[in-house]
Amino acid sequence: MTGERLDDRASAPPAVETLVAALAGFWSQRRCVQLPALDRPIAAATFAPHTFLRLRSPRPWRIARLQEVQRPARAFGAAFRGAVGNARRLEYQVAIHPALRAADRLLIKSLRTLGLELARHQFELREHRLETNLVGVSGVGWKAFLDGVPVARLSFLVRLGECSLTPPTVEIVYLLERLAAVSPLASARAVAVAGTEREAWLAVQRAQADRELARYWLEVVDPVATRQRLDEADREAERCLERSLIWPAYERVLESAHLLEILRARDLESEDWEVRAERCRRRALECAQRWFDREKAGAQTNEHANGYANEYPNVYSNECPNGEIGIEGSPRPGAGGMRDG
Amino acid sequence: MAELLLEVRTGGYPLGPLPNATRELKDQLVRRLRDAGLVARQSAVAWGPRRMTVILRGLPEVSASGTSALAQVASAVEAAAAAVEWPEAYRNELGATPWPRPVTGVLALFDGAVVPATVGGIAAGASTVGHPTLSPRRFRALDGDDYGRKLAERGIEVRPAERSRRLTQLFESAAESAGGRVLPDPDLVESLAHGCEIPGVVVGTIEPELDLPRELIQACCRRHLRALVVVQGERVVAFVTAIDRPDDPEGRVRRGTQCWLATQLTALARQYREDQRVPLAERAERVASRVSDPALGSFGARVERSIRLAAGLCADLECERHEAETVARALRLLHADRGCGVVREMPELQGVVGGLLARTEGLPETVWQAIYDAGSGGLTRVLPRGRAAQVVALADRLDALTAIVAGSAESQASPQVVELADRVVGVLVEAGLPIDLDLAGGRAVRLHPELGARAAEALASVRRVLASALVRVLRRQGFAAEEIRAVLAADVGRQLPLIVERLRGLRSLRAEPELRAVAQAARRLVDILHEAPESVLDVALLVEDAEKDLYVLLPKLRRALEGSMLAGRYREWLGMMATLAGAVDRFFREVLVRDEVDSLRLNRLALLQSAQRPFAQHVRLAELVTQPSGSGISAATSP
Repeated sequence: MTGERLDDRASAPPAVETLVAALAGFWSQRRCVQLPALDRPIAAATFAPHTFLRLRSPRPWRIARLQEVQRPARAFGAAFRGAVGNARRLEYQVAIHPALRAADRLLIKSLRTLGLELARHQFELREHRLETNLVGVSGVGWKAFLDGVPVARLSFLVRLGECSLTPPTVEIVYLLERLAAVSPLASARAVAVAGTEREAWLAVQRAQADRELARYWLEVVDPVATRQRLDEADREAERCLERSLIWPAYERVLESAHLLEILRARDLESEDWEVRAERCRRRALECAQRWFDREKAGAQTNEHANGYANEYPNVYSNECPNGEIGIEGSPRPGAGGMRDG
Repeated sequence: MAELLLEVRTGGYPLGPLPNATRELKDQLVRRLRDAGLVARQSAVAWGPRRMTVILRGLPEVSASGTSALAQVASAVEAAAAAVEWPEAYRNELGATPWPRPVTGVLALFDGAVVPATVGGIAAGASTVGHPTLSPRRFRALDGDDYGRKLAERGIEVRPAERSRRLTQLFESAAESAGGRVLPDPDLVESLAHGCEIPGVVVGTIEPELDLPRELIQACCRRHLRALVVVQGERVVAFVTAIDRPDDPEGRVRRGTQCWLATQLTALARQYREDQRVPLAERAERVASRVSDPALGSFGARVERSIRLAAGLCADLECERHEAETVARALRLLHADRGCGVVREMPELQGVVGGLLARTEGLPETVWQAIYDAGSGGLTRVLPRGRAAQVVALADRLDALTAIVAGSAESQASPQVVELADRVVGVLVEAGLPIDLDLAGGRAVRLHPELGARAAEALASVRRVLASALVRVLRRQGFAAEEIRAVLAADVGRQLPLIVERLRGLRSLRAEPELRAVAQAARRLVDILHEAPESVLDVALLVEDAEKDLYVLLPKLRRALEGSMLAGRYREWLGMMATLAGAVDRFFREVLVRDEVDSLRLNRLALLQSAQRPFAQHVRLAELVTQPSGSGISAATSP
């Protein structure tokens, strides 16, 4: 099998990087600030503190970032075949608050910048509901399928725990390895290496590292020690919150969420698992609430209460590029007319 | 006469509630315009993945006050859109209008003029768009006909029924060319028809070396591709699915879809092989302490309760000992597959996977079939094969239903409870099992000693839920609402086979002209005896010939009526009832019921009360009335 030659992810980056560069250019033009990836395992880019802690922000903000996500509970395919690409994958995330009404059109435009002539493909938006029980975010939107392959997700994030997010944030997540298999920008090189398009498809996703990580989750991780680490992470989160260190507290929550996913992958869910999952969710929501309170206070005193915003001041933007209409329906500065037709 | 054309677009609608929401938009619009004095003569609806369209024709151009009706139409459009009730799961906070996805465009024309209305934060205009990638440019529509014509020029078929018909044809011919036949899945075809505007088809092959049961491949195709499978015998050889474009340029869609499916199926095959390594009995022990729903308790507790409930059902059905043992064995393994990776990935296969694993382990056919058929997944059979399998399905569902309803009164109308109740009653009705619904509900409630004093309340709730399910199931069997009311209100007992038999009997009489006269007599009796006091008949007070004759006829007919009904001789029964109805009619013609003399009046009411019994005993005939056209019976008093 030619795909076996691609024994780690190092073979894929040139292709994926091309996509990332194209997407970064597209979204930068739309005033999205390029942020760094989080250097710890998370199950979805939505969970990253860059997004999660800012969901209830009273100010407009726009970010774009690359993120590797890990899903131990979906590791089985990766462990035994490496072809599913669900256990560990690269996501390019764009989040815009408040959401733009025609975000689906922007998604289509962005795919065109990847060299895709959509009129020659089957492009489809299928209904999708985002439910993230471990951190309590939910959203509605679509999964984008290109030639039958899911390549992106577009979600209007509408709830955080019991709290309605009004106006919502819109999040677009590109699944880079899958896009790499269909985008002419990326797949030409992969095809050259693998021989056929089909083999390229499999090769891009068949990574030795994925298989090893999946075996680790499924066979090596000690459940007892994992539960102890869970408790320790929760205690640390609590200590951080006592000192108003919200970001690190939330990072501990993410660690808990990851460990819970590993237990789920090992088929070790129990009543105890549900209790711990609920504790994780409550802690995440507490972090979001505390961050929101701090931002509100910062906005009132016209100061950014957290150093992060000072480091990336452009995250917060009060301007909307021409022609874009906010989801809340109120005219925004620079927005085009609201009348249809 | 004017026409209103309304189209509301989003990036993509949720397909499940789309048809009903479109119809509701039309109904709301018609109602609100009618309230404003604007009555539409014709209406039409259409929908597609990104648009819902309503056309009303024959509207007056001016309002009652003589001014243009445009302003009234605008307020009706806004109010109608705001009043559309999307199901709870699809509501969100995306804007002022409770639309499930952001509205991206509105086309609203009344008599050719743009309606000054705003829907979901977007002001209406005179233009629309075609397919998002094939014909995305805006174009103006002049009226409904022009709208349909211009969409058709872009290859868009707005009529969902036509799309469904075309897709079915395309699937069949594609399957034929692949050398097999499509396994029918009407729900999926309908969903695919809602999800495309330009019906096209893609067919792909499935690698023969995959050692997977048909059910798993079918579920995988359905879930990941929304595809139907093509089979040769039991072997799946290909898949077919819809695409929202007329062609597959350069075979891209086929290749992409095929590759995507190949990755899913290969992972599924590995997973299934892994699942086969652990025996089902061991899996059952592993999941025993697991809780999927706090209201139901652990799977271990569920199994214990179900086994006790099934023992009672087996006793009612006078099952053989080996049947009862099969039931208990299957129930012990019923939830074992919940720990399997395949079921975690695809919960709709719960039960099916357990059954397949049990078959692989060499368990008896009756046991693996019972597990296979009784699973809670969506792919399980409607009617389990064999009585043991039916008891397994009944015990598991009835126990789950009882636990949920007893735990929370609010849960009675929840989709989960409705589904469970429909499944319980559906199995009973289709299998014709002589089980009393009320008694079975009582057995299930007694298995929850923790209810204590709340047991009676819980039992009442369970009975209510099952009674509602009975009506739904009978409706799905094709019985009319008034027939069901007529039979359930009579003294039939709670044994479902008898109820169904009685309904079939009544159905066989629908075309008989006598039924109309009999139903009218029954209705007349109900009306006159409404709130009449219970009286004792005194033969000496019978004065008129008509009342004497009725009195003589009643005892003669009573036993014969009973005999013919119980023997299933329905026409004979109807003939006798027609005789009785004739006597009742004559009584009403010749006898003054509301006589001034109290004793005579009360005696006549007593005679009528006696005459009324046959009209309500086996079938409550007053629930049936005749249509003026004489075409049979139709809904009774409800508006």
